[in-house]
Amino acid sequence: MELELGLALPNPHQPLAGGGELVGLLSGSAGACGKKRVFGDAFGASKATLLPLFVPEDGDGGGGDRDGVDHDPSNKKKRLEGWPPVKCARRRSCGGGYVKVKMEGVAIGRKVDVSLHGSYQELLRTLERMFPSANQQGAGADADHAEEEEEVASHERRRRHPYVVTYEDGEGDWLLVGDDVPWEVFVKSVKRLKILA
Amino acid sequence: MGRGGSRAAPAAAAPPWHVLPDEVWEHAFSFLPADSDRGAAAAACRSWLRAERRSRRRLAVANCYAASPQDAVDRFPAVRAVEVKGKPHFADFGLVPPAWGAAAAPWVAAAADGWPLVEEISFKRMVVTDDCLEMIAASFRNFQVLRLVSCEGFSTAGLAAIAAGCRNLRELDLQENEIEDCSIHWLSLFPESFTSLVTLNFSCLEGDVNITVLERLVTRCRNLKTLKLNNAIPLDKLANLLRKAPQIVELGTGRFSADYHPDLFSKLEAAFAGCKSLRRLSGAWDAVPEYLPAFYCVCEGLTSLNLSYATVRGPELIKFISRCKNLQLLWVMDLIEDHGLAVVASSCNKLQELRVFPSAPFDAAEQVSLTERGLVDVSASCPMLESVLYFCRRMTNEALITIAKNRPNFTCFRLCIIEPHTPDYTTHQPLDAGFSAIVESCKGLRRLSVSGLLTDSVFKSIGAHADRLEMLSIAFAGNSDLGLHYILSGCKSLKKLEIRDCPFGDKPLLANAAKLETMRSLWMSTCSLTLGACRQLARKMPRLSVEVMNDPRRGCPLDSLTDESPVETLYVYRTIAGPRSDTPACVQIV
Repeated sequence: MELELGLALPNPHQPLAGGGELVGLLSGSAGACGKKRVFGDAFGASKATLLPLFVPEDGDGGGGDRDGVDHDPSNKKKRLEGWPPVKCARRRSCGGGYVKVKMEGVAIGRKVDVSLHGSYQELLRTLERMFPSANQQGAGADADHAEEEEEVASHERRRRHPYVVTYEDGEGDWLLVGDDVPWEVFVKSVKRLKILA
Repeated sequence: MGRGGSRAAPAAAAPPWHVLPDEVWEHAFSFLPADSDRGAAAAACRSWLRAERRSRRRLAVANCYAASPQDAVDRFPAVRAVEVKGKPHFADFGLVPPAWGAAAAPWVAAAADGWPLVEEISFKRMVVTDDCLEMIAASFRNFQVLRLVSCEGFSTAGLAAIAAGCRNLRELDLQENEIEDCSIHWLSLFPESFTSLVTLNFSCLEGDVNITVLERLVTRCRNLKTLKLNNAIPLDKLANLLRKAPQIVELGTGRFSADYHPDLFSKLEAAFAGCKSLRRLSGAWDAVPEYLPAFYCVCEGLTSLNLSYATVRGPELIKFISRCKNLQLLWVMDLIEDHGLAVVASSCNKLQELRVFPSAPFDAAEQVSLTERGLVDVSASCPMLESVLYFCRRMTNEALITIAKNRPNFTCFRLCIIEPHTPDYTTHQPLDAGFSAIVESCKGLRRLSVSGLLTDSVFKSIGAHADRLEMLSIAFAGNSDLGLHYILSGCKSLKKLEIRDCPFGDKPLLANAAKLETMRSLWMSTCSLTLGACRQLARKMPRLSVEVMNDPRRGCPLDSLTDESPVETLYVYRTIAGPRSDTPACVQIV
């Protein structure tokens, strides 16, 4: 099939000097490719002030839903994944909420940004994704599941094969992750996480 | 060598010059330091290829998947020093899925089998296990240098194997690795007879170290030149160590934290006074300002100062840096602020490399007064400045144009304006003009990172002018496919391109497919790519490996997805090894 080498014209609100000759060479078609993702337009230069919103494509955790970015629309200032580009060691020392996670029996530890989560539930979801147990039914197969079904399934899994998640606090004590400590307090005091199999 | 003329006896015909024995060529090639020169020589003819590859001693594999370990061993049988790099650069910021790959084990195994004489191994952004380290310790009789940068997967048990097994070890250089602490006293495993250490860097180790053992090790290694300590060394022990190793050239102080005590201060000051060869200093993580004068006696000799994790600020910091008149490299936190950089500009005229890191990268509000002014001042007054990494919160086109005019000698210019899409704060225009000035003026620019509000037009400038550019990083920039097209159709020397969160789609990628084979790799995440385009690219370019990564929660495996499905992350690289077989579930090679 012949590849159409047309390039989209630049944003009509931001006319490009000299952009015309390129369009002449290749069969240009006005307007962007119809299949462009929604947020591709959101990052147009015509926006005067832009908050760094990470807008998912569809309702349920769009392509960028890693590490539990909070999709609560009232939370305007969302943390962007991997931005600003500072290394993990620097994040930890700057109190970015990045902590190491180790699971018993798993050689390679992971890192998770606790402050990107809004609740224990979200954190546990992320941890389940990071360390899928053999008992979980393919973490990722059915994207069609409604958010609610996922919740129920996840609760089911936890009841059947509960992860025991512990954390090290500021004083070096290891405690169970749980609701007896308010979430905000937990975020500030957590230094490391360990999952007991 | 006789050439015709009247000779009594028939002379043996001299061999034509190009049929000299291999050893002659190997000797000649040993004078070519750069790999690219050796590569060029190898391409000249078969006999040069043979001579060059058989005599190659140092090998750098910039992408561990570009060739198989066996390819490397077969082609270059005489290698003594090998460096292998694994994960893409954006792995540093958490954008690469876990278990993506880059295992060091196949390389160690191939080396153990095919390069028994290897003396140096360096791994960067790779997964190195304790087994790997044990194999290294057991396989290479003359092993001397182990350098691990941004690696993970090993523990102090692996370090113990190295300490116990590598009798001729000269360098153990651990930079920014994630090391599991098994509470093994690995330092104790260096035998008492072991004295060959020249470099010991364990600054990234988060765990205790037996200080008595360390002192004994430092004392008996008379050739120790580089010592970089971790958090576990208290200040008074640091002073002891320095007294035992006054010949030290490079020092990482570790935490350097203690309440001020005049006795301790004097002890430190005296210890530093004894270090007449000290040239490179780093650490000082929790230093209190009152201790900084203890460094004064070494300031004049310092060529490199890395305070990038040090939270000290204020007049003491600035006074200290201003005494370092011979600095060539300065890494510092933005706590230095504009007025501190103004002092650096007037005091450190030999500065070649400046990096300013954010102390509060996740805070929205401006906590420190570090703006474009600091960079303008340093660029204006430091004629040898050629490499910059600068995190700030505001910038203007005028500042960038001034910087470009003052410093056409930049080879590396990385500007990170922390808030995406930030325009010129005085004119509210995109920063196209500023970055265009940089690429037009700095003809030797090899590395560039752009940020702030940028349209496609800046990429037109970059494509057209950045002839020597080898690495380009783009985030939250551009407004259409044209932006990417300008880059891929220009930038003659481009080797690595990494893009995130830009509205670049399928068309420029496919239109410039051939370009990708001239590059080492391309990373595009959170752009506007579809799976169909990736499949097309892979079909069109069999010598590229086209890796697609999506969120594990959606749509794995990819075979069932349609061409229209969006692609979250694309990583493309040229390879002679064919598709790799060690991808995790969320990574697919299309």
